[in-house]
Amino acid sequence: MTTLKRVWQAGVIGVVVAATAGTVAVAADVVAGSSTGAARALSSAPGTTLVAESGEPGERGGGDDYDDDRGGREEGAMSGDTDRSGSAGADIGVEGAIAAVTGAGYSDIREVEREGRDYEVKARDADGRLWELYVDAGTGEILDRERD
Amino acid sequence: MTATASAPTPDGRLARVWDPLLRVLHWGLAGSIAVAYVSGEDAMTVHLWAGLAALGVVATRVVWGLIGPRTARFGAFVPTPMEVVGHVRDMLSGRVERHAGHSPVASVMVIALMLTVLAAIASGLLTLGGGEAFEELHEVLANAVVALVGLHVAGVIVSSIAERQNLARAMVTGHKKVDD
Repeated sequence: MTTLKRVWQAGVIGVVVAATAGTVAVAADVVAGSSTGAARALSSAPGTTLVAESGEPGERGGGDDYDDDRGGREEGAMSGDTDRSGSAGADIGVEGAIAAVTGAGYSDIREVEREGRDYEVKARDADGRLWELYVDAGTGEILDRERD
Repeated sequence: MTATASAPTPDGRLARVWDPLLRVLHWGLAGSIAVAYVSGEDAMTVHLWAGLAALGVVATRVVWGLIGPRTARFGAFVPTPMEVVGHVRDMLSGRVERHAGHSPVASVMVIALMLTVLAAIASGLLTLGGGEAFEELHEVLANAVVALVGLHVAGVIVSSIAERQNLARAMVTGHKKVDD
């Protein structure tokens, strides 16, 4: 019985220790790790998220979107439409991201957000469905999309 | 124990139960989680540091759980499922026992909180690292932490009433009345 308890305890303790070690490893990777990790996490978090909203009245009233909130509160994020801080090399800018998306047949741009190396654009396709599109900030290529 | 069941002795032995580091870690974790929760959507830098502080606390606590004094050690309080069931049965039947350390149910609480806090921190870090997909998971886990904290506080209040002692104060002073 006591042996059984020992084994059980060892298992539970093992899980806790492993979870802790894993989280510490992730923290080390994100915070102290590669330049894409720490620098980006720390610098992109407070300042560089760039949001431009279409400001169209209607449907999306409440401002319940977390991204909206976050962007709106960031200092001067709304005003600078060519903010390139935190990125290296060429950048298509918010206009470029919008152009890329409208060029691909999307319309009704709802939100443009800078997230790391991508722009995330919320827009509708020809059938009226709302998508979140991931646009490469350097090339303007639409990398991926998911339903919003 | 069974015979004297329902009436806890009015003043059991006053024992030094929680060591100083354990108490500092306990309130440090409470504080960092509070800061992290409040700063969640507004102040990313503060939020990140609060999260890292919480991770530091949990990591230290886990090490302390391996090498610390008896009541701090996992080996002394990680209960078997049978012990938990037995303790719940005791509680439901009104039997009160004042443990010199964590009761089996309290131990489950501790472990659940630790794991959930760790998962919340990990998902937060992964969100910052660029994994957008983790953001929603992070929010769910953060709310789970708050729910568990609520449960923890409720458990402390209920146990304090049942044991007729202020268990929250025991986590400040380190002393607690225990039954021998």
